[in-house]
Amino acid sequence: MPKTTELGLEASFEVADAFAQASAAILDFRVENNSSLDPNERSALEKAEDQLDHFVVIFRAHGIELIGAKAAQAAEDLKAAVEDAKAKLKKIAKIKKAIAIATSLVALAVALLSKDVKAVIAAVEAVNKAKKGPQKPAEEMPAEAPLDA
Amino acid sequence: MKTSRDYRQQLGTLVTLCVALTGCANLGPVRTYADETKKLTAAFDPMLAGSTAGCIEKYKRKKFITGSTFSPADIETQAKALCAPIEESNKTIADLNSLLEQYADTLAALANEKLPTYKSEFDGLATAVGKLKKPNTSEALVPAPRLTAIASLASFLSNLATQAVQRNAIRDLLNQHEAVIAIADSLKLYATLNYRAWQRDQLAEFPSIIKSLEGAATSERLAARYILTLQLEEQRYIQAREKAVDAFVTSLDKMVSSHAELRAKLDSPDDKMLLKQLSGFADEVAALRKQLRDAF
Repeated sequence: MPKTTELGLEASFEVADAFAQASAAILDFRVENNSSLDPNERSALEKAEDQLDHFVVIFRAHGIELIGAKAAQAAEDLKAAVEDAKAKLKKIAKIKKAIAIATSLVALAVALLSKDVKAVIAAVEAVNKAKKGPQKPAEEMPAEAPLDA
Repeated sequence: MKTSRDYRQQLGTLVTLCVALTGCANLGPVRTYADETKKLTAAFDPMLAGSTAGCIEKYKRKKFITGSTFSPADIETQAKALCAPIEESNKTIADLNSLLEQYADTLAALANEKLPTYKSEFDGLATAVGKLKKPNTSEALVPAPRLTAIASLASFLSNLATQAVQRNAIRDLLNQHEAVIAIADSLKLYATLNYRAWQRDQLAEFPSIIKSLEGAATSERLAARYILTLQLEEQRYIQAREKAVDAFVTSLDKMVSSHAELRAKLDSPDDKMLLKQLSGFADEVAALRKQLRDAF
């Protein structure tokens, strides 16, 4: 039996194909001559088919492993890239906090447009409350006015 | 101290900037590519199972119909033992396919238009602000039109904050072009050298199987005819499975060329060649899926 480790990828599949064809040829011979074969002969042929079928599996399995080995580096690169991208997705989730601050500032800006100073102060406090205040959006603003939410 | 005019100007700038940014945020092509690639990886799964099944069914068919002894339980056990190495080495290829699927999933997640809006948060914000009353009055602190302005500006801001990260991450993924080619090549090799071989081996043995059944028809006419009918039907399925390999290879080639096109034109999502390429990719995947439906 040849050492499977010395066989290249395509050669491994070619060898397997050759064994499969041989097994199919024996099967055809066995079926074709069924009536003229004695039980021992039939059994010997069947055993030969079994052995060949086994080699088919061995060489194809080896070929599949070589396909996998060939792509191992690429798989590693891609895996790292996917992990990195997933981490960035998480980072996007973290931006939520920044957005919370940004949006409260926008709300404040809109309130400022209303030229109502008390309303501005109330807006700051309300937004802080609504966001459970992860950070202070406008520290320079004293939050003093109680709200009628 | 800033005047209200200053704030107005700032808001105006912000709106302009945001509108400009969202204008180029069309990630539709990325989503299309990711969706089709995901379908393609799903279409590969039957090939993994189909290789092992091809090995097992071939053995069982031969033993049941032409074997000198008839012991169904033993034949089943022997078939599984014979084909175990295929099942085992399939895991490597299954991992490669699932990696490609994860790649497509991650691209899809990054290109998801819902991702950057955090709509629920902003709904909450608008509701909270909307509840505010001017102190000691029942008058709304922020008039309704301005409330809408808050919500829409907030959405723009969220896009602003996330788009840069999103696009960079998508670009980094698309830069893995060589790895995508390598994985596509591996799946092609598996389909053409292994999966197809198992289908071809089974087809090669059918004439002998049919001959054997015809031989048995003299003594067991009804049973032989019945099994023959089933085997002929099975043969047609196997032929369809073998045929699907070509469609699979074509789809993988389209997946790779679409990847190259998308990578080159990420910033031109309306490019006609890109859209044509993606639509061709989708057509191939649809044809492959149809073929697989006929084959199982």
